[in-house]
Amino acid sequence: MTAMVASDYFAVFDVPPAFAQDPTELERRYLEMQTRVHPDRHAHQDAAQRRAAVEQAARINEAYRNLKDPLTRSTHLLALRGVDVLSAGSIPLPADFLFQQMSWHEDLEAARKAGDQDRLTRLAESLLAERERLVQALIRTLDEERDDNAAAQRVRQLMFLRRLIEQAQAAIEEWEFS
Amino acid sequence: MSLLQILEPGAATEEPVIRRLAVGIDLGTTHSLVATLDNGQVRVLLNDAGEALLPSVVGFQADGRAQVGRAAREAAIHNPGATFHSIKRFMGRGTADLAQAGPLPYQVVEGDGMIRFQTPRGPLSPVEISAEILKVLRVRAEAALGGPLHGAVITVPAYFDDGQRQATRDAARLAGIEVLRLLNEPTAAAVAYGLDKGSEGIFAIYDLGGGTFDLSILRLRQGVFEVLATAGNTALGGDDFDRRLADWFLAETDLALTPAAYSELLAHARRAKEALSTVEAVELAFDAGAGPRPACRITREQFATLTADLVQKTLQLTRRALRDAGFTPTEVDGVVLVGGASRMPQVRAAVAECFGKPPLIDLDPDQVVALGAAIQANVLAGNRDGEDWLLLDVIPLSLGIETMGGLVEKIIPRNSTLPIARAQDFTTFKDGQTAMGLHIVQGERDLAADCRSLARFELRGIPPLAAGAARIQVLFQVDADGLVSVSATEESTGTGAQVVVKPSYGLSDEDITRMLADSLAHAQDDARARILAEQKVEAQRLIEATRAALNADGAALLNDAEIAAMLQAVQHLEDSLAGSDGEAIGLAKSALDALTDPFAARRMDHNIRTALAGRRVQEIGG
Repeated sequence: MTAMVASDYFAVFDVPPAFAQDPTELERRYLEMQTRVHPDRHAHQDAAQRRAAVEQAARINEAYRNLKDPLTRSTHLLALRGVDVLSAGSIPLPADFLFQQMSWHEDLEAARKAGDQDRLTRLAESLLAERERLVQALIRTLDEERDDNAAAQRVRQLMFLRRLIEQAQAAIEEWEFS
Repeated sequence: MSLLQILEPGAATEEPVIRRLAVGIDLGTTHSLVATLDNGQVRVLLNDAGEALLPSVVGFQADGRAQVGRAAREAAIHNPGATFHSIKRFMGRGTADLAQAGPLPYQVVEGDGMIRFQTPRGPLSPVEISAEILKVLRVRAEAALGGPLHGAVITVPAYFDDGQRQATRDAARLAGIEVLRLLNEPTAAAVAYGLDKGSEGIFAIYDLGGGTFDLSILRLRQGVFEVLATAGNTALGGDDFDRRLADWFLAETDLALTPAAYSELLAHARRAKEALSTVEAVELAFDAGAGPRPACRITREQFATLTADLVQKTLQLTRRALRDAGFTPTEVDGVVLVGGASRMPQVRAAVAECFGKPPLIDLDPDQVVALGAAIQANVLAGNRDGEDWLLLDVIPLSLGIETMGGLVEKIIPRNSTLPIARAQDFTTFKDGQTAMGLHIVQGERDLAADCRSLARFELRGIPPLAAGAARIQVLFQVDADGLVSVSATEESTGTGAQVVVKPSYGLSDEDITRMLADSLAHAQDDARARILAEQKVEAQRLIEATRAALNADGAALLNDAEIAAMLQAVQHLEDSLAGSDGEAIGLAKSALDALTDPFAARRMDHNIRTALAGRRVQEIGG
């Protein structure tokens, strides 16, 4: 079970350890492997085989979950290269990003208080666009320039963005359920 | 039987075909039914009177005998305190959950854990009451199919939490049914539709049953049914519409009713609701005994207004599931309606408006879940006469642990694909600390008190070390049925910490054993004989499976010493089978299990590598 932490998720699917991945191809490999090992495929076999199937299917799910999402994929890739994104926290983020982030927060709070659904939706959209821009930038820093420290900084920006996106979506939901 | 055989897609199987009798069971809030697949045809099994639907009503007579179905429903008026309707609502629930159920004519037994009701047979949990329904379906299936059941796929609302799933599984155990799989109702419905139509695309399954609402977003392609997101409410269903109508009637007529009379009024309300699906207006009347017989006329439109907020609640959850899956309503290729309550015209209209297309209603919404479950049961039993497909389901509610200050730390987020294994490290905060407690909860709220408590775990036997030095890795596992299990190891010394589980609403293994013994006519000796017989069959299966595995892959994956050790363990187990010492058989079996587990893991690894290698060859060739 300890091996789970250290495992190389790229190797699980036999794809090169790079940030840029073809989502269609990754998914195809995932489904193909799951089709073989899923416990339902071994339901009428003995207990040992069923337990092994559950373990393997869980491992494949975990690997796919991590590779599917750009944030976890980049964190994992950096971890494989020996860079811990969180401990890279001592490097300050660029001032303009911090400033931008503050203004998004203010925007979110104001829209939430006013119950302004359109404004929340617009904010969520611009956050998603910003995330896409960061992902494209990460392809360059991680795969082409291989500047891991700069990449770690961008990954941390992605983390901030994800939290903001979640908060914006929660605010939209909160409004819908009230 | 070559149990460890790895199945190659497309390879012809040359084993003699032994059909195992497998059924799909829809254990519903309002009614239950059983279906099977034979000769490639899926069909619902009928009772002697030619009826498919068994009302999920259980009544206990003064002598303790149980009546199930229509008979119990008809006798309810004379026996309201011991006739249980919609018992599914209480599966895996505690007394605190009763508040939202409205007035009930039952006597509740005070206590912790799962709720229990007073009956002429003594205090009974919803698990035991549900088992009565399952027993009737098992007898029906065995009579129709002419032999003992190999097993069943039992459906549950996708939104059922771990406690509710465990309760369903335990009810099946009490009814003597081997559960091949707990399958989510919407997934079962998709199987029934998908195979009929061979369709690919994004589907929404809108399932409004008697007591629960489920909305699942599924993708169907390449033979894989993938659940992308699911949302729902286990306390929202057709019953709420009945209650709305009954309460409206009481307000209009200024009547005050006893709980027994109220449940009778509910039955009238249900019939009025059903009638409104085909006619524009009905008269709801109630005989209150002395005096004039109050009656009120209600139109379809009035009924729609009365229940608009209930329908809106379902649409909010629909939008949440769509957002989780990353789709907009118009991107959905088809909407499948499931559950009797989805027949209401205001529901159909609201769904059509939300998705911008009329829903699919080709299959009977009362039967579609059982039909899908039967198709899956056939696959799981190993009767592979259909196409190969796979169901990938998700966990409906996030799994977390309570941390300092009563906050929840999420370990597994909702809508993660099953099965799941995730490890989390913990440490001690006092010098020499040898035990720690963990509270496992399920739900989306930030405070543990607002989530559903699944279990409290105590980890004991942690080696006494300085504060913060012990590293306890807790492994959370959720299997394909959505059932949660937890294990722990202390990593700095490698000792396994002992896990003591106290399920919040579930039944312990001792409870189940006691209930099984109670339900067997001749208690102890019979039970022991049955357990020994089952143990021998299990052991025999393990021996055969091990031999087959050794023949297939032993030479490639094991060294001579490993093979010798395994053969010796097989011999040892065979020797123990000659006697009738259950303990000796158990020990010999565990010894062999310990050897076959790593072998099985290696074989599975080998299988995956072969899959990748096969793909590479294909790529080069193609």
